[in-house]
Amino acid sequence: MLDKLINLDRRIIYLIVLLSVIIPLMNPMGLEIKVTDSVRASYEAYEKLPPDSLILMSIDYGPSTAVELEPMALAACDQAMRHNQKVAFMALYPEGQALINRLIARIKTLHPDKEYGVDFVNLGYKAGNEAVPLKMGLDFRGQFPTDTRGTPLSDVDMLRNLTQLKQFALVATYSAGFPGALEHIRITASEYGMPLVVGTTAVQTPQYFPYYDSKQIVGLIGGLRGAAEYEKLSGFTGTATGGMEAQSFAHFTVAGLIILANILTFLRLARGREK
Amino acid sequence: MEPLLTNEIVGLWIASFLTVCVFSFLLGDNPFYKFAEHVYVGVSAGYWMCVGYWGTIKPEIVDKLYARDWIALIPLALGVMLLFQLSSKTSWVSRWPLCFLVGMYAGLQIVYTMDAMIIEQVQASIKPLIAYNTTGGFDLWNTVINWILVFGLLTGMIYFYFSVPHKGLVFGTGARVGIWVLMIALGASFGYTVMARISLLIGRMLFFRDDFWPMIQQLWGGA
Repeated sequence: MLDKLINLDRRIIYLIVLLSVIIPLMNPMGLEIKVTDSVRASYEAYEKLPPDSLILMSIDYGPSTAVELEPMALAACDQAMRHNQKVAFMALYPEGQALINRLIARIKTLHPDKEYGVDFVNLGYKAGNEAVPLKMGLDFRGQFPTDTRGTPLSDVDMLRNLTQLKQFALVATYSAGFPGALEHIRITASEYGMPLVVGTTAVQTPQYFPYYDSKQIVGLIGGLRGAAEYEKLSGFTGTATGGMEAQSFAHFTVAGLIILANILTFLRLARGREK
Repeated sequence: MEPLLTNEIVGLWIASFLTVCVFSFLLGDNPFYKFAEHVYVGVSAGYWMCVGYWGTIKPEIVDKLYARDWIALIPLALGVMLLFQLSSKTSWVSRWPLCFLVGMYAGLQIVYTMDAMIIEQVQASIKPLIAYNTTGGFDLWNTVINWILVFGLLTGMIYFYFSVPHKGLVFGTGARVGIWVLMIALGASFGYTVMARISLLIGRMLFFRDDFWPMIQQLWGGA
């Protein structure tokens, strides 16, 4: 029996983990979510901006990481729209441009009164990694002469007077890796001194805590958990909160399986000594 | 829910079929997984090619040349020179643009990495070992946190200092404690990695719950 359990078919373990995700998704229980300081700081960074403030949002993720990053970006967009702030979207990540279109489609559904060019605009993807934010600080219109529709920035209502990066009140990057948050930390935040909110995947989150501790970034949202905390703060009903329950149950399951495997191994060792 | 268009229904079926194909790898390598893998690679290559053309080549070279901005000939020439890599006889030509890329990138990295990732991080790690709160009173919590940070930093650095043998109280014990500090940090990092992987699974399950299942209900219901 002991050996059977230790050599359990890995496919049964996959099935157990799958069920631990599916069951909470089908039956939400409303587990409490505690908000961490770094997420609250990100929320406050948007919250304290006056109406008509310009926000530059860099969508630096692709479809593979959208499950973690899209809920936080969407909650932040909704927050900005509710406060009548204006959002300019850009991307350092090639797939970002398609994801911006998806965010804009959601904004239009949630806030039908908001208009393209007046309340939000899509500046699109720019290749060049560090060189992009570097040029944005030197000559913003040189880097983004038009939006993705080909309209010159001087004809885009919300960006009519924009010539410099410093005219943005806040920069936020929702980043899955390279290029993304590190480029913005190095150039946008450290070189140009812009307040920067970073949203990252869970894998990367430990890497960015030192930049939050050193106050190089004003806020940090990590993974699906961070997105769920953000949804709680902003009162936005998104997918992260429901997903977090499944996440918690899956973690309990994984931790339980690790503990069980350790107990079984020790039991087998003890039995071996007895023999 | 608004009635779905035919192309949306077809898209949902393709997405769900490919998701199941990818998950089928958990049962072992099989032709369905291989099919999904090849489709993914092919679509990615096509997407990147389109993004490369419309996002870089057209605005930075084609449009500029049409506008008689002849400076665009330089990146065009460097780009063409990179293609010489395809033949072993002419691959030496591609070293020039590669040198330019490496040199430019190194220049950017050295200046900005030094400032943002070394100087500012070192400054942030210099903490008072006795902390006071805003009212001037002794702050026990932050004092403990600062001690842990400084202690962890020093022992972690001792572990990676190989110029002297890891023996004695300072270098021997320090390196052993440093291993524990690193293991705790790696454990926390691994925890986040598990969270990220489970999130990906949740993402696909949410797709089945919120997109695929309503489509099935709509088809059955005839909405």
